[in-house]
Amino acid sequence: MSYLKLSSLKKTYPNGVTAVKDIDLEIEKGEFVVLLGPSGCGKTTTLRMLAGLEEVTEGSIVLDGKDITHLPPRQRDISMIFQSYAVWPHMTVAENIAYPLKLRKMDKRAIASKVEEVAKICKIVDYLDRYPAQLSGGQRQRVAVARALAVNSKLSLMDEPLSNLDAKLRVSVRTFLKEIHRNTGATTIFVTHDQAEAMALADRIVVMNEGRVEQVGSTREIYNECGSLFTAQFMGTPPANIQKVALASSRGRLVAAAGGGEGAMPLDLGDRSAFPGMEGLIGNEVFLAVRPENIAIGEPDGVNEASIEIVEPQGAYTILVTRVLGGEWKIMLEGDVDFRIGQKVSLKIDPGKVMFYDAQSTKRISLS
Amino acid sequence: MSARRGKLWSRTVFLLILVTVAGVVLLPILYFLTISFASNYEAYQFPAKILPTFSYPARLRYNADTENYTLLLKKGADFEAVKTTSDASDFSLYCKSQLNVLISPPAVQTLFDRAKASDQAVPIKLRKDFFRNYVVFFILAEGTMRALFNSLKAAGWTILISLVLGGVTGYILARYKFRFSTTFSTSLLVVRMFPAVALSLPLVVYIMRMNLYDTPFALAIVYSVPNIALTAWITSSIFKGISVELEEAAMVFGATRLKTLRTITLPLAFPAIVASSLYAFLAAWNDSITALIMTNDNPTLALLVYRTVGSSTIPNLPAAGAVVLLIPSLVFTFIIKNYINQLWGKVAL
Repeated sequence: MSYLKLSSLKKTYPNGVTAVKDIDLEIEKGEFVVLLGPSGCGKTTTLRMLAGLEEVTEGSIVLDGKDITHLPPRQRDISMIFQSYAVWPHMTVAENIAYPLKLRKMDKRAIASKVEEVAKICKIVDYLDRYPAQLSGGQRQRVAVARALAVNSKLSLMDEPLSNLDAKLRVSVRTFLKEIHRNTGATTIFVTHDQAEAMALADRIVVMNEGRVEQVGSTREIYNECGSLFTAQFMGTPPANIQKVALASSRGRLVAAAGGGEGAMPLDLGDRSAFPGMEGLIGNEVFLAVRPENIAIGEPDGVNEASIEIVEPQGAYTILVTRVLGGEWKIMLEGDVDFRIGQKVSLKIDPGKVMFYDAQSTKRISLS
Repeated sequence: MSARRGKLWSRTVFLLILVTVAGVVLLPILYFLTISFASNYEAYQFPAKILPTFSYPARLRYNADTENYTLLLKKGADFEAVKTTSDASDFSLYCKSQLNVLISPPAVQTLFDRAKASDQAVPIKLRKDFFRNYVVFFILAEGTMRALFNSLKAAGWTILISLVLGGVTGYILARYKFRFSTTFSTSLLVVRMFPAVALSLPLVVYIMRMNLYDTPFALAIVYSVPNIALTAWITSSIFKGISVELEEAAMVFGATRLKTLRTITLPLAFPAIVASSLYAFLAAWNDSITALIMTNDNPTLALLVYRTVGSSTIPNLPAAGAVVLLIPSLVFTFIIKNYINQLWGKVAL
């Protein structure tokens, strides 16, 4: 029996919009799970249903053996960090942290020591007597974290808590949150649309799209073994290069020809032995997905030749834009490499990292 | 250098405008205050004085031929004869009624004797009973204290009714979207367009049926009608400014809806509540027309002042009444002013 179980969870708003369609999810105690997806995918609605801030239309939520589907928020034993931090402006930092504890009828001395304790962890001891308006965004965020930390709840919810911070702060708070999770081991559900955040924080990522779960897995699985075309398109900066192709076999090699067939050069994917179980697909139309970093560049040798159209240096890596099979493909190379625009190169694709998706269902075609 | 001169220029212009505005606002108030302290004699003088006086530079002359005394008051560079009498109590009465000077007949007699001993007009000092008009107002306008309490009761009820009904309406308008919600909030203002008389005349029938006629509570009902709408507008804009997440956070962390309202929403809306109650107070406090229609034996203070104005030909007594009326609302406004821009940690939200 898992710690938190969502069964066929569904949410339809009074105006008829269905934000969440049938979500099943099981989460173990102490896990850090990230709900990831584009805006409008239902991740926040799911979180709000968990918090009890949104009425559940269908399905059930069981937390630690107790059905909390229709309980009001205060009876669920949860804590939450909001996107706007939701630090109460008319209370000092100390009062903010103490408020939930007072509601839990803790005695004064215990509250004071708890406030002290979490303030130390969150490094806000010096600000305890200040009002939120006197704090910076990052400090307010720490107050929100401290408040959530103090209640020691069964489930910790975070609704895009980093999205209001500037880019630099976001990375440091991210590390801070991970550190706190490592120390407390609190079961956490974190909602974000930022994949870098998701990959950095999550034990498991739940990729969501249009109110459904696309894929659940570790960062590695989600990134390298995208279960659906959506995930492949969504994950990665830049995302995977995707092209609708017809597969063919030519002199022992697997070749992909552009679906449109507008005279573009077919792409040599590698020796057929690198693609076991592909026999049935020869001649079929599939979606081909290759991550930018899984393509290497060599001197032009007549195979997979392309010319470089755009060079985007990023310091630690360089992104090259080329035209492959009539589409724009991005290639990511380590380091600050020097290429000229218009230069002819040969593309070397790592056969083990190529992903195929069914042209109709857009589900992954697994190679056995 | 020129930048500095430009700064000096703008400062000068700014100061001039400030002084002008202050003059336009403050001078009439000052004049009004002076009038409220003026005696009947002073009220008829021209040009009128800007600042109130405390005593009269006066002379008393003994007229040997007619065996009576003449009181001379300073007017410009000269002295003007204002009263000639031989009777000490007649003189005393004149001082009291026309000059607001309290002086007993024996004291007058002493002055008479001094004047008689001298062959010239002797300088005498007539000290004004400064608050005479206010004393007279409270004596003349019978039941002033009761009227004051009626006014306070009516204002209190108006604040309560407006805040409860208007506040709830404001909260609903801010938090829930429903069909015609904008139409509804606009139509609230239509209520304010009706003149008070138009509202009170039909309402008086119902008030009578409810056995509430001639009570401050009935007045409060009428005053509340336009104020509920205003309160709803003021509070809804503040409630809209209070992030829903603040309320949700409280509920997630263990508060009931009521507790959230009490400890989060209402404290944050406090400035709006205070501003609305100020409006409600002023509306109730300053009205005399509705009170004229809706009361009989229990007038409000404003109505009482209004009646005094009607029965007096000299402006000094009504002015005193108006100042009496003004003081509580000034006090209320100044107390409440501190809360209108409520800041936590001295930083604007």
